[in-house]
Formats: sequence, structure tokens, C-alpha cells
Amino acid sequence: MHAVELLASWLITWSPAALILPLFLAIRVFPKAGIEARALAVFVFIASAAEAVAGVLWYSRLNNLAVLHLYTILEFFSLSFFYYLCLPGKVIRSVITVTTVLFLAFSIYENLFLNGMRIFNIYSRSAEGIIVTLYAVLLYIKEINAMPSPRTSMLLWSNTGFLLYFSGTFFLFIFDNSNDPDAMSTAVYKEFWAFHTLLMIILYSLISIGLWKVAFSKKMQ
Amino acid sequence: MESGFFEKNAVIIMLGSAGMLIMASTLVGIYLLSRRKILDQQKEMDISAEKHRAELVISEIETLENERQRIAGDLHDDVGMTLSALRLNLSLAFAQTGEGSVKNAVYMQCKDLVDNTIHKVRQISHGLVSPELQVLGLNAAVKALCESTEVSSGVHFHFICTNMFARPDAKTETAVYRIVQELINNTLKHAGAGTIAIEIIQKQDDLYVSYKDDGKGFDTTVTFSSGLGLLNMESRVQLLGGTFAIISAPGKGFAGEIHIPSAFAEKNTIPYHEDPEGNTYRHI
Repeated sequence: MHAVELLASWLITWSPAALILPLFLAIRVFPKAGIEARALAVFVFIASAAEAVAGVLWYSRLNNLAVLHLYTILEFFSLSFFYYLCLPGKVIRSVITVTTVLFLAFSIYENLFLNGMRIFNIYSRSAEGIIVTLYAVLLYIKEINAMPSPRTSMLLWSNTGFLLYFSGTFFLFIFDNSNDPDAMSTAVYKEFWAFHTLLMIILYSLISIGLWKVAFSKKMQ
Repeated sequence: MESGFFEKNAVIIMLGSAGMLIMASTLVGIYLLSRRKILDQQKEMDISAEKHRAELVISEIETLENERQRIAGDLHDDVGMTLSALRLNLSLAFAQTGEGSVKNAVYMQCKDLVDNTIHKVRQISHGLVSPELQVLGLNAAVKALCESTEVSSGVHFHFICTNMFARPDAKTETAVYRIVQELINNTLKHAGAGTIAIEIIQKQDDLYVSYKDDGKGFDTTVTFSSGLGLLNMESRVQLLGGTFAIISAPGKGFAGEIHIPSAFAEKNTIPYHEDPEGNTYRHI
């Protein structure tokens, strides 16, 4: 097997392990931390649960894309709530609320009428990617004057993770042809998903740093 | 089907993802640089504000010391001289009236009153500016302060001065003297203490002052933040680059530790006063 392919297989197989540390930190942070850190912890809980269920279905040789569809909606909800808390202002919060409702409607429409539950939800994933990227940019602008603190560190590390992950995977989702079996070979497809996995590991690593800053600060924020 | 990067959409995904990642990383980089710049500016402003505050405190302390010196001078030169002249005149009048006169009792009373007033004026004047501090140094001044306070208040003093072979500069001496004076005042006013122990130690170039009383103590978290006196003492020590720590709790007395680094460094020290006969006032 080619070295790149081997690495890709290894990354895809072991990527769920990247969730262990953030999950441990989220459990530690959740009871005492501030609301923003809790929202981030909820995101980690959802991701962990989805990963566990998808893994079980995968090993049972069952189609697990329905889990991904549900996960996309829950992930977007938790991230919208996270950015809703982090980005103050009536206008921006109204925009986040409306966007979340529209996203939910769009996801349901895609699942029912466009792609169905058993194939990849490329439009919802792409829409989520571009929206979260915009939220991340807005949070950078908002936090530029913030004084250093565990809370600021948590926001900036996790926000950097979201920015890199969702901007990096946007093209991967929008031009994904996995629904078209003739469009791409399994090897290339695997390489792209390994790239996705790599970004996911970076995301969870940065979230871990952010949660660590809160979990081990003198006063949880 | 041909395998590789030139399949349908593969190049777009690769270039698009790379482009997005580069843009995101650039944004993170720009953000971090801007943030560092803003935080540096903030730090500079904080340093500037702190410097300004220190300058204000120095100016306030200098004004206070100058004013004390002026009032002490006025008391000594004007009021003191006038009282002395009055006392002399009273003595002359007493001498002229002769013994056994009824007026003698009044003269004696007047003389006692004038003597008391002269003594009080001298006490106030010495409280404002200690002549011992200016001439003989910190050790002698604190010792004199302890002795006079022991007589007037009835509180027992333990004063020890260890290894002090030089005098620190005038600013350090004045600051430490004022702090000790303020601490004694606090003990007398609030603590109801029976004993006060003061120790002044020179360790190489550093000056250490330890102050303890066996009074009723206080909650430091409450009193330190609200007490202007303690904050002033801390400011005085900070201006000398030193540290001021206090330990106290209700019913546990009070302890204060002052540490002034490099107080005896060569550039700072001033020699002990030496009289024409060659006697120094190092040991008192």
C-alpha cells in the first residue's frame, strides 16, 4: 500500500481518539465553568456521542449517514448557541437566531427532498461551513481588544479551531462527489477524507487547549 | 477509472481547501499580530499610568514632608522663642515680687503653664520632624520615638537594631521612620496593645524592619483595602522598590515586615554624623 494511503487509513481509523482529551476536559469544565465554556463542552458532548453511535453502526456494517445528518443539525445548533453567547449585540444575535432557524429548515428540506437520509448531506455541511467561518471571523474582530484571561484564551483557541476546520473543509463538502460513484476513485476519496480527519484532529486539539485553559485556571470562567 | 488528483473536482477541492486554509491562517496571523500590538499599547499605557501615579505619590509625600518641616520650623522658631521669652519675663517678674506675695502663686501657675506649653510645642515639633532622624539617623530616631512613646503611653517597647553599620539615604530613613511612626500610632489608637517590638536589621545592602504588637489585631482583607494609612505605607515602601507585608487576624496581634533592597548600597548610604572630637553616633 502507498505510504500516503497508509497514513490516510491510519488517520481515519484512529481519528475518534482525538475526542478523548476534549471530552475529559468538557466533563471537568461543565459543572463549574462559565456559560460559554459550557456551550463548547456541549459541542464536544454532541460530537462524542455522534462519533460513538456512528462508530457502532460502522462496525455493524450499517449505513451511518443518518447519524451524520442529525449530527450536522445538532452541531450547528450547539455552535450557533456558542457564538450567540460570544457575540454580543442585538442585531448579530437576531441574525444568528434567524440563520439557525433557516438552517434547520434547509437541512430538513435537503434530507427529505434533495439527497435523502442515506447519502451525504453536502449542502447542509457546506452551508454550515461558510456560516461558522463567518461567525469565527466576527468573533476575532470582537475579541481583538479583550484582555488576556482563561475565558479569552478558551474563545480564541477554540475559535481558531473552528475557523481552520470549517474553512478548510468547505470546498471538500461543496465539491464532494461521493454521491456520484463514477466521479472519484476510492483512493482519492480516502485521501480527501484523511485531509478532513487531519483538520478535525486540529480542531479537537485546539478545543482541548481552550478547555484546558479554563479547566486549570484558578477560577473557572 | 483513472486514479489520481486529476479526477473530476479533485483539483478544485484541493486548491479551494488550500486557498481557504491559507486565508484562514493569514487571518489568524493578522489577528495575532494586531492583538499583540494592542496589548503592547495597553501595557505601555498601564506603565505610563503607574508611573504617573508614582510621581503623584512622590510629590504628595514630598509636599507633606516640606509642610511638616515648615510647621516644625515655625513652631520651634516663632512659637517656641516667644514662649521662652514669656517664661523669662515671668521669672523676672517672680524675682521682683519677692517671696510670700499672694501674686507668687499666680506667677508659679503661669510659669508651669508656659513650661507645659513649651514642652508640648517641642513634642509636636519633634513629631513633625525628628531632629534625631536628621542628625543621628534612623536607629537613633526610632529609639527616641520608642522611649518617648513608652513614657507617654505606658506601652512597653522592645527595640533592637542589628548590624547597622551605615545610614541609608535620607528618603529611605524618612520613609521607614514615618511608617514606624504610623504603625505605632495605629497600635496606640486601635490595638490596645501592651507591648510593641521593633527590630531594624541590615543584611548586606538590604534593610529589614520588623514590627509586632500584641494587640487585638484585625482582618487584613477588610482593613488593608479600606485603610488609607496602610495603603500610604505600602506606597512609601513601593517607591523605594521595597515590599511591605502585614500579618494580622482578630485577637492575634499585628506583624509588619518591611524590606528595602539596596538601601545600604554605596551610592545610597550617608556617613554617620561625626562631631569635632571624632565621636560617631553609630552606636547609641
